[in-house]
Amino acid sequence: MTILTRLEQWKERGIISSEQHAHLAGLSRREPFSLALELNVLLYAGVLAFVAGLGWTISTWSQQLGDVLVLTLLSAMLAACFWYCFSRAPAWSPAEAPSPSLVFDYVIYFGSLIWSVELAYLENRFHLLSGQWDLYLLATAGLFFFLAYRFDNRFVLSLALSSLAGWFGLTISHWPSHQDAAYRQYAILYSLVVGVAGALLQHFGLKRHLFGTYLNIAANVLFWALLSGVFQREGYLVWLLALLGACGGSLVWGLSRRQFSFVAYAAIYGYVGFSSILIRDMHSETAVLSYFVVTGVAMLVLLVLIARRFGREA
Amino acid sequence: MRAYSASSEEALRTRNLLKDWVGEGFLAEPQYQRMEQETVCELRRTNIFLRLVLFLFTLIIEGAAVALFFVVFLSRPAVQTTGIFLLIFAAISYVAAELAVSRAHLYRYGIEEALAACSVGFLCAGIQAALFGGRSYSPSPSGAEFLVPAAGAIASLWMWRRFGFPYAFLAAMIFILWMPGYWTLTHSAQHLIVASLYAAALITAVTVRSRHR
Repeated sequence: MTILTRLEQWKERGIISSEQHAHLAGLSRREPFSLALELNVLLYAGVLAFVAGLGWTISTWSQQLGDVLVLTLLSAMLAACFWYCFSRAPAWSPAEAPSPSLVFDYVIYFGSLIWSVELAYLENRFHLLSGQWDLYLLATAGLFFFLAYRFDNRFVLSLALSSLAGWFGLTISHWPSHQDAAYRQYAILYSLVVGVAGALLQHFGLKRHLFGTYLNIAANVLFWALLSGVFQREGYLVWLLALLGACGGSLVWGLSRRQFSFVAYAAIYGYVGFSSILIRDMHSETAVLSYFVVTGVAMLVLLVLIARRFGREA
Repeated sequence: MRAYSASSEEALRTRNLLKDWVGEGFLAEPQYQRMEQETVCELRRTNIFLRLVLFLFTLIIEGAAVALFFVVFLSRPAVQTTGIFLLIFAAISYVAAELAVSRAHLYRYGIEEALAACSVGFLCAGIQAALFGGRSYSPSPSGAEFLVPAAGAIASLWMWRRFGFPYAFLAAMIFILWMPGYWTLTHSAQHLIVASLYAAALITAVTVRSRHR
């Protein structure tokens, strides 16, 4: 039975009105035909390709073009992007705000990337802050956080969180005795700071829908940091316990909130960490391959049970 | 030709549309509940994240099981022997994908997708090893080795037609990219051949589609 036949029946039985029937029948016939996904993918890819091409052109031709032309061009693009966004954006609201147009989100994303290119060019050419990239990253993170919250933009929020992560990393690299352990501890600190900040912003009702972005980034950084501890030859037990604890937390969070990306993190990071310890002293190919077959089947069964119990699609 | 019945796929499409419409406010929740109850679908689906993880673990199991077979039962086999066994594993993998769909009613569940993907991979590796021995991959205009990407393209198209995996069509297009490398060394000629093959496929698709409108 086709959807049109079903709609006809539902109309005859009074489940939907004639107006609803006419509207839904049109939608099911794909009238109008939606190109939203294709346009979004093209816009996103277009912005990335354009900025990559711009960066490449500037790095190759900056001598011939001259600093004045390059900076004028970049500043003009930056000003145009910000003018467009500030003039078109609706009044700020702490709740989720719909984008005023299809291209709006991509214009602010484009502007943010142009800002990064211009800043990199300025520092490379004029050494304004004597190579102190961490200060640039911190200032950029601040700007991107402002833009992300002003214009309700997940792309720019991801850039802000990445810049903040870069600042953490570069700050540690300036220390006299930076080691893997220091990076690991600060990666954990970063994930905690990001997670707590996201939770606080959600608690105070500031763009609650952006909490997922914070949580996903914090979870991935935390898992990578814990995994790097598990991969050590010595003193890995504490990290393994921490990893298992984080996996348990991620699993419970994912199942209770029906956010299955966290179930996936728990399964993959947990499996990688646990397997790395179990197979590191196995020297027989047969044992290693048997391990993957047996544990793979066990994981598959567990995941199918989870999928049937919690993750069934309507 | 489709592994899924038209009624099942239509019911699935209806459920998806109902979900979209209630999300967009075109239907009230009580209307949605009532309509959804009448569009029962036997196919088992899961969400995208579990689907990806199920795909990954199925790949791990299958890869490890095949490698284990070679380690345990065949010590230093000839390349042709390896190729023949890989072709057998491709067949087993494909049958398993069919069974996962027909018996377990899996639909975009990750497991049947990984089995189908493995069958294409084993098929290509098997043909390469069985027919062309241990020669490493080296595109040259003299060889009949274009059969490897050709088989991959045909198998991918079959998966697309049979199971409806959209990415299988993309895989077929990528396999086609490799084929002209076996016919000519000139890059311009290779690009021309690929463009001609894509254009021919596009014209065929448009013609077939217009007949079914």
